[in-house]
Amino acid sequence: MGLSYLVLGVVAGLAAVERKGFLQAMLSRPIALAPMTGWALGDPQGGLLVAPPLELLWLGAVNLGAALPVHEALGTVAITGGAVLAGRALGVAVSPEVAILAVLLCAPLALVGRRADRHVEIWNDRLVERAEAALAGGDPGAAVRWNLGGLAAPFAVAALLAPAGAALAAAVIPAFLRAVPAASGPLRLGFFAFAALAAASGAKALRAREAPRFFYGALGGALVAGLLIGGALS
Amino acid sequence: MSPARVPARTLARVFWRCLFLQAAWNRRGMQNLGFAYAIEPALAVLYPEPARRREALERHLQFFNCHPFMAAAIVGGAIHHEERVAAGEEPASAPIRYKATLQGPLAALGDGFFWTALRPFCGALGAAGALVIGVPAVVAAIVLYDVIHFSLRLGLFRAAYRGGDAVIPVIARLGLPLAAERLRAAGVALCGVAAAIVVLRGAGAAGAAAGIVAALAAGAGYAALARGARLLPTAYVAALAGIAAAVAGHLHWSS
Amino acid sequence: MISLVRVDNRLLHGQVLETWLPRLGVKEVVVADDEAASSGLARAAMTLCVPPELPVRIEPLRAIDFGALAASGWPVLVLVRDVAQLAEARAAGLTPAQAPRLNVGNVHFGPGRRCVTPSVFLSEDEIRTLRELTAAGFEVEARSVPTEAPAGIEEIERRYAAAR
Repeated sequence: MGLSYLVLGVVAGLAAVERKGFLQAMLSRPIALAPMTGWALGDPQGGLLVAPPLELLWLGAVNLGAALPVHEALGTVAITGGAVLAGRALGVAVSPEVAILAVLLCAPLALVGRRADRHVEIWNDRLVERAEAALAGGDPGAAVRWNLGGLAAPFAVAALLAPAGAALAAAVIPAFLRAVPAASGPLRLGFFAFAALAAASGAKALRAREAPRFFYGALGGALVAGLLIGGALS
Repeated sequence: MSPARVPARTLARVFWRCLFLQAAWNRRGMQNLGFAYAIEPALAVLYPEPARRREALERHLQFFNCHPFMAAAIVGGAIHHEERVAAGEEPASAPIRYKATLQGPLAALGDGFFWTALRPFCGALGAAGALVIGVPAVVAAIVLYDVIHFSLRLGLFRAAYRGGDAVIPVIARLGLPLAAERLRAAGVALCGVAAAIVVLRGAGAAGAAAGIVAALAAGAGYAALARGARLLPTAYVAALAGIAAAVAGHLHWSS
Repeated sequence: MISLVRVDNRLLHGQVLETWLPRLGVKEVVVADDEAASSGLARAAMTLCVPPELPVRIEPLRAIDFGALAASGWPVLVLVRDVAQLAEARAAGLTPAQAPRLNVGNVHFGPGRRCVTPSVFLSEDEIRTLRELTAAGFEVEARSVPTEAPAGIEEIERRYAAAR
């Protein structure tokens, strides 16, 4: 149990670093991070269930200059971790009803993460001061190495908050579903409504010209195609 | 003095360090420390004399902010100019002017192509694909993104190192703003497809009512978001409305 | 009409193109900056970063006819580099009737400047300039992107006084 939270913390910390401080190769985006988180906890399928809606929900989480986005990586690890651990406590694989509860409980962590990022930026002013002092002291190599010190704070913030969010979900979700088993059906519907809204959020975030036409057109076209294929197969 | 050149090994080290450009992103200088960290190995080669090396690093600790991928081009071009400063062919202000002039426009280009077009397109591609075929779609989307982004990141670093100001026509020929527009339109369509798959999945897993609720959430949700509704509250409303619809339907049928 | 006059040390970059232009439906961008206007590199770089259908004019501040921009039938966004250029623009004839909104988007840290928003650092002189522009009838705000809450002149002064 404790090991799972340690793993979650490390995954969240590394994702927070990859997200801004190093590389930025999309590995910390929900579409990649959720399956990896699930895999790290032994349930890649659970991660794969939440990855598409979370990616689409936060498709517009973009860092433009000094304007900060929500911390989608932190939210993703907490939600995925919470869902997998709650499923494990219930003795089942991650189901839509577990996943939607994890989303409802942990998604606000993405906003908390943005607040933390602001403080990290202020904290980083000190690294520049240290670097300037080292340069004045005649050591340029040491001066610029303070840059890497900036990786520590985002790692620590995500490594602490993501397991905390997952722990909350892992405690609340099994208790709730055991107490109110009839909630499962409605929650399942809630998951699909959420996933559909997430797709709409992705379309809105892309800000293409004539986006409504493309979104509604593709939605309608794919629905008709799907129904026709489904009808032909049955 | 013979014109100093930065050896290829050092350039490789600088490029590796470019990947850490935003490690110490701070309010006052933004990517200044990251830029200094990246270019330092080249300055160490060009300015063996401690006083000049320190002076050179000081000028690169000034404010800097750009898109992290496009910044690799600016680091390359700054080394191009520093080689000429070290050889006495250009004033020390040349690399600084290069950075100051290009950081804004290249940031706009990088934000407009990578952050708001290519990455969300690949995200939507991975998401829509994952709903149908799972992990292979995720891997394909990430690989697509990284092949494109790394070849541009490295290619522009090299082009700017060799050509200095001549990197601008190279970038212009890429036609990034137009490509971005097409990627965005395709990304929107992929989101529509993803919504349709969710609707069909919902209907398959939880009955026709779930499909209808999901279709409503996608259609009305898009309209609400396009009118400026806040994302997270809207997502909660959609999920709770889905739950409430199921509860209401259940009560209706059982009464 | 002039939808917005924005102060930005980096002039044209992602925040402007990705957030303000779509939000305001801008059809023309005017960069009023002497240094950029005189640099071939700056002109080439700025021209290539905008979508093909959006015209960008890069001219010295003194060469801008604000009256003509205000009379144009489409929304125009004007970019200047520093707060001091807002006062210059006013001296050159810019009135609140032509451009009611002045946005301070990005002003980098420098000696004597204090933090007003995460992306705006202002000196006492610059605050005085903004106060004078407010008194002249302009609506002054500090924020980098439209989704942030704007800080008005009172809020700017309060934060300046609170910052050390």
